[in-house]
Amino acid sequence: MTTKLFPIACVLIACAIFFGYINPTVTGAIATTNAQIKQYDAALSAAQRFEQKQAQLTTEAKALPQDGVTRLEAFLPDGVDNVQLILDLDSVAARSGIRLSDFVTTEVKGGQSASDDANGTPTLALDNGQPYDSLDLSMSGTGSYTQFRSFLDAVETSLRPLDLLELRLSDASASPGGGYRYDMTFRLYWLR
Amino acid sequence: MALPPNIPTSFVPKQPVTNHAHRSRDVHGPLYFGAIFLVATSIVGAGITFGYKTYIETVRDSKKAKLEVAERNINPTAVEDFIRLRNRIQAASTLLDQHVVNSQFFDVLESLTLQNVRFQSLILSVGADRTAKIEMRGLARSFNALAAESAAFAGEKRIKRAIFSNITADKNGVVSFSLRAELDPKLTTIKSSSIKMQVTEPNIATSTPFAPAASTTTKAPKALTATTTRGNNATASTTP
Repeated sequence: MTTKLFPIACVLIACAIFFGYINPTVTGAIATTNAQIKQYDAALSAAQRFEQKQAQLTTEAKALPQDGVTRLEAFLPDGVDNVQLILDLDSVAARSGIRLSDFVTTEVKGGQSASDDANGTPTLALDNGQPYDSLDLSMSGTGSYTQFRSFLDAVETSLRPLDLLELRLSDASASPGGGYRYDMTFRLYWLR
Repeated sequence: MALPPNIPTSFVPKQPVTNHAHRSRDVHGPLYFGAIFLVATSIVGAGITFGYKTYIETVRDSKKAKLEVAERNINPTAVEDFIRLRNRIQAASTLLDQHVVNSQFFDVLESLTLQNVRFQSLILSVGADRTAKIEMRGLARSFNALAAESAAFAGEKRIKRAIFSNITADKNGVVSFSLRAELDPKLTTIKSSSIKMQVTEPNIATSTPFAPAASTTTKAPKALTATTTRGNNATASTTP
């Protein structure tokens, strides 16, 4: 009787081992571990590429002239700093003989100024996804045409880019200062 | 004392001797060995599975440790600096290409304005595509002067759709008019401007945001005070 049961018991033991340990381990733990190893391999490969790229970029960054980097940071600063900009603009205007006043800032959202009305006033549409933000800075000034051209030339060639998007020039000869009145809207930029 | 062989050892009759070896051959047949092979295979398979599992877990832990070391070597600040530098360079390039330089327009306007024509007002709006629209009001000494001014604008290809309207003459013959036109981006952006070269000169701009360019020159106020020798019947301009 025992000898007849022996093969059956063996088959049962074999089945138990296979279905109780081998199969769950292969399809479970081993498969999971293999997947993790693949992920780690990919991550290690990426890390290796990153290290190479970092070394390359470090070398290239060191090769950049520091003066140029400083100028680039002034060209597109990390913050808007519009108060200092107004002071600088006023200083430039004073050197040109223009008197500035009525400074108004308008945030630009989605390519349009928040103050834009529906009368079709053209505005600058910034591309979405650009790494910079912009702000419209409006002001008024009075002075002669020569003084205005001097001011405009100075602004256009300044290190920080200021785009004169709107200009309203009107006769102000009746006013005490005379000359012209200039209502200007500049757009300024900074890195996000 | 040994019994003689002819004396029976027991009164119980003996059964015929059966062949046990034959029964044993039946029990240890193919099924028996197959079952043993099956068990042995499954045990070996379990051992291999266990060994392989242990091995790949070791490999995984090793790779994980390497990855942690690699992660520790990454400097997030340096990465952020690289990204910001790249963004700054790209954005600066874009902004520089789109930089509005309206002084070019005023240079052209000064060259186009006849001596007997003066402009009183100007509205200039630059659009997203860097085309610009201008609206101006002005005075001309005569219709001839206005016609010459119109011809001058028509000859400038970067000023498009120049339309003179609201043309009225007063009792002195002075003609007032309005002018609407569109400006080509070449006239409003830095791409076609000589200023681009000046800006890229290291000695033009300094670290301060508003460093006036050394080469900036103040030009004569031609446009709005109207001084050129174009056209006939040139007269002294009248400043506002």
